[in-house]
Amino acid sequence: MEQQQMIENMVLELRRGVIVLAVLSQLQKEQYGYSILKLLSDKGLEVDQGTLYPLLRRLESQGLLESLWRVEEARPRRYYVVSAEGRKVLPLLKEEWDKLAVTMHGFLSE
Amino acid sequence: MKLIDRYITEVSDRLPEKMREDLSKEIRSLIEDTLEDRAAQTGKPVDDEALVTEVLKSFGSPAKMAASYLPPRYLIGPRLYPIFWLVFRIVLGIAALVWAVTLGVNLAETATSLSDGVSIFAKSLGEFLTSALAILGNIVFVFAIIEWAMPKLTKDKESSWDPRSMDDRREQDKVGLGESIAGIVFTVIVFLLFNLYPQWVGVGFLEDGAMTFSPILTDAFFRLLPALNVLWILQVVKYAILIRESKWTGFTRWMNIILDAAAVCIIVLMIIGSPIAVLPAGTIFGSDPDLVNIFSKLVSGILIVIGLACSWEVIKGLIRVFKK
Repeated sequence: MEQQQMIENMVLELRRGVIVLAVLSQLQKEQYGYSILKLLSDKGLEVDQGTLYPLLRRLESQGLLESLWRVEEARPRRYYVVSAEGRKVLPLLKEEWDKLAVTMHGFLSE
Repeated sequence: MKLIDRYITEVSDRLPEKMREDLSKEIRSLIEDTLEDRAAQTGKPVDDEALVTEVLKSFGSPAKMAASYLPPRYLIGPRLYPIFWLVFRIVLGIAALVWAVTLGVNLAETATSLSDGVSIFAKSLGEFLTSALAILGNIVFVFAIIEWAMPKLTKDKESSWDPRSMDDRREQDKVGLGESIAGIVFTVIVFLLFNLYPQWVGVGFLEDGAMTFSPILTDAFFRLLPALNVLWILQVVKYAILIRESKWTGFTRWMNIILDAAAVCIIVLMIIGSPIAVLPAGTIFGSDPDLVNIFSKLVSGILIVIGLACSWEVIKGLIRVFKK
């Protein structure tokens, strides 16, 4: 049980490491909080709500995302999209990710 | 929907004022989106209480939800905790030593039976525990202020840190361990004396063949005591940092200058304000106007000498800092 908990925590940490890249890559088009969560989940990346929603705010405060409120079906929703700064940062992060993936693949296939 | 309103209020209460409105609106929108999706999946209405409860549970407790939007906050963070712990142990150790000696003297002088001794011990232990709590409170207060100010103090330092600066360790910057420990012991004794045993600061005289002792400190002194306490605790913090780093750094030099300058300010207040010590009225000394006058001038003289010494230390400190 303890080991299972430990593994779950490690998997969570691994996901946290990639979530910024995943979010930036999926926000080329406007999305609201819950739709991003569903989008990531549908594509195989399960992210905790308590991790994703504050992260969106943090990325916005860092200037990598932009947001705006829209009223749809009589309900306001905050939509996020990658900013100009985010578009510059994304390819650099992708490059780092590719290097890391190659390195890790090398480690794990030894 | 009352549950959602209550949840939003609970989260909002834990957020800083400027974030409240916007974040509350966003969290409500996120909850409603989740609720709508789950309702569509389960076929339940969106206002089904069990469904709302399940969704709110998945968001986590209001405290957890609010905390996830805020940076970690500490009263005393990991950077300062080792110094805090060192200062607390040193101060508490010295307080315990002073307490043990005082208890021993009390028992030897006044206890005539075992029950007397037990009663004196119990009373004294109660006083010591109260003092220990007060000491802990004071130290936590001072460290919490340092913790609050520290990110601003160290932010620039972190970005401009140069590994080559580590070579700049000159002989005159070194601080001996004994010097710092002596500083702590002396400061703590002064702190304990004026806070726990101010009645010991007084004059003794022979009256009708018997030795009488009268305290001399006035209300004017006790009004300034909280400021002096903060000063003394910061002095102990300074010595603790010096023990840890074994040398003077820019931070400790500036801290020393500020503490000396603060001491000068307090001494000036003591000189220009009401007298901090007077010969007790109703005693043979206190009823002699000449003696009262001489005593008052003596106290002022001592304060002026201490004030000048502290001012000189400030000047020396500033010259050293700017020369460097």
